[in-house]
Amino acid sequence: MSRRPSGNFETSYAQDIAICHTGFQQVVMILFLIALLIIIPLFSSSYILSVFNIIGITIIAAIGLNILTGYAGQINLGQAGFIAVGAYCCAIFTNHLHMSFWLALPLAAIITGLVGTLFALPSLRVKGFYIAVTTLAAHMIIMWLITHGGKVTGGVEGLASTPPQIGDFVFTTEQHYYFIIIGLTVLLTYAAKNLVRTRFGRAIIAVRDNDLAAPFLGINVFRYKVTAFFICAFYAGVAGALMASYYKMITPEYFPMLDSIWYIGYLIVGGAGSIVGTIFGVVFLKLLSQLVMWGGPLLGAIAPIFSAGAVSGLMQFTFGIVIIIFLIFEPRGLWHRWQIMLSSMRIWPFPY
Amino acid sequence: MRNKLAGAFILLLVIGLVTSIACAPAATGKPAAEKPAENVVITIGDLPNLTGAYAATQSCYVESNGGAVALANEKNYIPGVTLKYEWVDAATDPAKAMTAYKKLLAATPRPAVIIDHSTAIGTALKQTAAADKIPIVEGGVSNEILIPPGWVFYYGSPYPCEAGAYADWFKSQWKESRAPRFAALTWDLPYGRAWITDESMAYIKSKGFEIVGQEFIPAVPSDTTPQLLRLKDAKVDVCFGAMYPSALAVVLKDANKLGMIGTFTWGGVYAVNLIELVGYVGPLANGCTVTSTDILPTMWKEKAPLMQENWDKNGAKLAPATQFAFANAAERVVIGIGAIKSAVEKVGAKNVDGQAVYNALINMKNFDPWGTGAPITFSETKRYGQDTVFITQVQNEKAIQLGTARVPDLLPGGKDVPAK
Amino acid sequence: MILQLAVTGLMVGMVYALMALGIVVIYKCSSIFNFSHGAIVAFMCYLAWAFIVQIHLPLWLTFLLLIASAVVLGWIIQVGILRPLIGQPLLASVMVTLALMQVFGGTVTLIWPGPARFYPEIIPSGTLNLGGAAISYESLISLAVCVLAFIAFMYFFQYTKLGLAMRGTAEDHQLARSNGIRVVRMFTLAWIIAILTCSIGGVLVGNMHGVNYEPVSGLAMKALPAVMIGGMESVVGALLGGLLIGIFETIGSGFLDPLVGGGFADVFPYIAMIALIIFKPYGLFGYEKIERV
Repeated sequence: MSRRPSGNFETSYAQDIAICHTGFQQVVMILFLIALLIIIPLFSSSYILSVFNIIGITIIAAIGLNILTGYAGQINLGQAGFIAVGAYCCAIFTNHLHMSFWLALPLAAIITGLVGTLFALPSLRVKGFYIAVTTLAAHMIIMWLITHGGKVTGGVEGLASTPPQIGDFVFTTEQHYYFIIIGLTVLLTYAAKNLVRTRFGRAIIAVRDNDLAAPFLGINVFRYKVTAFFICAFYAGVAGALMASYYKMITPEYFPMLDSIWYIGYLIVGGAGSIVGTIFGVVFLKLLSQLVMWGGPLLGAIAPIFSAGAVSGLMQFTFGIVIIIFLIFEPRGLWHRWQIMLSSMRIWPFPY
Repeated sequence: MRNKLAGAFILLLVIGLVTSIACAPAATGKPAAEKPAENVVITIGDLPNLTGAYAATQSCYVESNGGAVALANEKNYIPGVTLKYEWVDAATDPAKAMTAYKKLLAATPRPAVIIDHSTAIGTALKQTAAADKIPIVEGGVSNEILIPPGWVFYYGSPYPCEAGAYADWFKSQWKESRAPRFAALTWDLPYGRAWITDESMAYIKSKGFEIVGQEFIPAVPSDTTPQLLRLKDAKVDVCFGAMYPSALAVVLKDANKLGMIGTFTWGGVYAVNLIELVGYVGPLANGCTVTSTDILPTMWKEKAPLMQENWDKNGAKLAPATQFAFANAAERVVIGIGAIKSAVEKVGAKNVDGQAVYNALINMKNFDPWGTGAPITFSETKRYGQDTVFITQVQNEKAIQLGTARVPDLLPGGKDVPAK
Repeated sequence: MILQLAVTGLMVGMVYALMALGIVVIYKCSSIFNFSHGAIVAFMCYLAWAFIVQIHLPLWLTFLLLIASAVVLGWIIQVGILRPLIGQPLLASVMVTLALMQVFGGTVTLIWPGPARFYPEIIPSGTLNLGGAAISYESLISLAVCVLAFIAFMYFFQYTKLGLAMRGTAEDHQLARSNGIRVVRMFTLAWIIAILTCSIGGVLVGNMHGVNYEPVSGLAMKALPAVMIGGMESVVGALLGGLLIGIFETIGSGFLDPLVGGGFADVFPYIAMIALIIFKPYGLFGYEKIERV
């Protein structure tokens, strides 16, 4: 991808791995952050803020998954299970132990990370699709433990959690949560971007590309795999804790197995192996599902010959078809298409 | 060329998505039909589950609920007010339901009441609805929803109490001198386990039953012989449970295989659709009993003419097996409509909002839901509506109503909980 | 009691084995894990119901039409949807199967909304008593159908030219091509076979549970642990895996339920699967990948 019309020529290592390479990119980044953190929360309706909040929580979990699956190459089909661990830990801490949210969040994330390392252990022997199914089984086992957790986890009845507060100020509305969630999203995205352009990032990419040759370079494959699992589960834990707090009440139904599989979907649609790609993927799919939700009643009002059940089925059908058509046109994900578009715009009117 | 096409397509798709979401709050649902210009519009929100696990049962809910609202408008049920009906598919998934709920809140005018049809979703929305000050009339129940009393109102009677009512009825029919042997035979899901509480089991024991077992059937059972074999060994006389007919059919077929049909009676909560069960297993369903919240559809012409009218207008193109579900759902909407009516009478149509409807609901006494079910009473501390259930049984592959039973108060700390 | 549990476990396991076969055939040929398997099973179940009850076709015609629909559907999926993705990252194809699950689910709710339907009573309901274990005629017939299906498919793979071509494709695409086998045609064939197994499985499960989307697709996805235990590339593994899962389920609910308070049947197969994978990372009969730097 060419950033400058005359080509990419950096003069220092720091410049080479920088996030914003040119002055123009820096300005755009600052404007974007101002819009995201100041303009949007002040001028948007509650509904739009709620959409942002959901997208923010999902992005955190998806980025964690990207580090494990996109960068380290270990397919993880149990992300929703890890999110559940984070959510329930946070709920238990704030509800039963009356901890403050600001303490419960990092604690829940760390505990989730440790649970992640537990399920990383089979990766010593198992590879490829089999580790995927091991993580799927991890999800099922976690959910079974939660549902049969009696009074501690609330079992099937669910667990409420107290809202975060600073002193006397309690976070209740969408706007309040927006600042916490989007703030954390920006922070964690930046952290992830940093992680993957350091030694750790290069090591796990090496593990993904060829984990037999990696040890020859002095990379302790098992240790990096386990660390990647920890980070993925940590991010999932943060997302889960935010979820517990935002939804105010969590039940086991919030973490179905299919959700785990859809997290991989976010990565694929967005472009695995790229942090910004994940954001694209989550935003695209979440907006699509919002559209599908709006479309149902609208279609039912416009065309009353369809029964409401049929209309909802049609919406689900459309959701699948749009994804299929999208993938046929761009199997490498939105990020790839974005790169191509940027390059072609930059060197327009020349083809290359 | 393919690259350009792909690029253009995707660009259009993304732009289209973003613009439609940004403009979406402007679009609203079903426009009210010919309303007099001076009428105040009050919105009723609905969260039917049209896709997902409950889709089969709830597919007719938009027709039944929308029909009930349209009928209320037609009969000028609340003078000076036109009710608007807004629905969003909740997809039997609390996360999607939460988004659907937020979309409903964006409707104009803001809903005064929201109807919901799933225990999991009601539990998930309880805190949020309290924070947003919008009451929810709920079709699913759990102790978590009822205690502490919040902004969720369950229309029927809680499952543990229904179990107690069934036990009372069964004991009154029991002819032998020994203690009847009772076991739980229910779904291994929140909905299935909800009725098994310390209070309900203590009550059943105090009525002279011998508790011989507790068996759980997985959500999609392939085979239930292990569970049934244990019950056979225990020589059970009566079971109670909560599951949908598709799973119950497997249980009954396996029971038939083991020769257990006729040796025990299975009783269930209101949501078990007996007509559907007969469709699955025919004569094996004979004897199955349900503590129903509604009268039989065959009694509508006489006792619930408005519901009959609703069915004739909006339900006639649906399958006859959906009649139970149709009435169930419409009953919840009718409670919402009744609460709005009292709120209008109290504070005037222009001031009706969530808080006003909430106040109307906690003061609701003996409200008759268009004749379809027992009278509804809530109170400051009571968040469930019905104190009587109809005992409905399958005889000769038809659903017959045998009578009514009083619902004991078996919530924690309830009046009928036996003393230790 | 043990005999009864074992027998019912085997019966149930046979149905799982058939479902597992569908997944294995596609994975073996094209390395794509088909997430839409459960949805397709449910779709074929509804389709069969539509033929028999909605259009009132005689049974033999329904049978032929189902086979025809399987062929058409397999062809559409492979040629229309998966073919453009050949050569692209494999995960894209997997994602497409995920989206297909939504498509089939939506189609079922679109065309047949409403409450569950039932097949007409074709198999008499009676019970056979075999040495203390009670077996219903229904499960006996479903066992017979599954066994016949397996024998037919195994014969196809072992003794016919087309089956040989498929096995060749499964081993190495390049070599198959240089032997004159049209690899893409083999993919289509794999999908057709998979959808055929889905139809058989769908009708059998529909008989047990009624024509209801959630239970039928949920049951089909129980084949997942079966595939893992047997190994993702082995037909014999699918058979054995399915039977094992059936037995684990009945043993789980038979002996371990009272210990853990119920519901163990759902999670025991997954625990067993993890335990087995730790000892045999590629399943019982899966291809061991020998990697060289």
